[in-house]
Amino acid sequence: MSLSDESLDIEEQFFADHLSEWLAIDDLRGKWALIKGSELIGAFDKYEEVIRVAADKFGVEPYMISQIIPEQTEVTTTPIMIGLLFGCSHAGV
Amino acid sequence: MQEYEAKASTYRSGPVALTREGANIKVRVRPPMSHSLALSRAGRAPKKKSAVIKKAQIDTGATITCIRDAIAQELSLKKVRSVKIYTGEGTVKCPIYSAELGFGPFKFFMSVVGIPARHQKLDFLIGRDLLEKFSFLYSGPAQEFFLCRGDIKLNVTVPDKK
Repeated sequence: MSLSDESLDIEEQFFADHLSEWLAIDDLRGKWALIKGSELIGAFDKYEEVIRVAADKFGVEPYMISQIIPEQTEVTTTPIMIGLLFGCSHAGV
Repeated sequence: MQEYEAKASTYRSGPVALTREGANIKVRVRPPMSHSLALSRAGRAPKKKSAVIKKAQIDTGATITCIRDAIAQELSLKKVRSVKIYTGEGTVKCPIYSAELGFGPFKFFMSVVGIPARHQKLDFLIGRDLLEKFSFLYSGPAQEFFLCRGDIKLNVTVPDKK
């Protein structure tokens, strides 16, 4: 299985389930969350920091990294990228 | 400043068809060093290359930075989440990878969305999540554009290729 085929369904569901709760916590809002399974491993100020900790702690195992920000209801790119205009609905890209 | 201008000259063009191609820059893409080390420890070297340099289109209309998924896999970038994208053909679940992006003197650690080949015409697209780190100056009459950050003003126009 290639690294891009890894399933992060558990982590992504956990993130979605807790996002509202975390957004209400000053110490978490805006930070980068590292999630493994159904556990928030930590929240970090800088992206560079979270990817380093994740790699050191979990190596090539699956884990999720996402910023704790309000859900973006629309993420767009333009037709030059995909030939079609698209939007996406998912939390904090 | 002169040092940066010298580096920038590597990317500087003569007359460039900005009108035809838009604003392009060359971007160096590779896995973050921490992930490369993790791959090495696991005995899993990058599939083919450890870094690539790609022409990237600057797109002020794009929220996020995107990469052709095949390139991300070639580099063994680490998937850190996924995102659902809606196209005319339906929903596509795309991976989001951690990557190290570099151009000129700049280096950033970013999330980039891997777009499947059938949905993608470009190798790399720079969205507003990266552009927000710069002032972006576009001079149509001069046929060049600049990325400015701090006191660095980088002319990053890619030489015209016919």
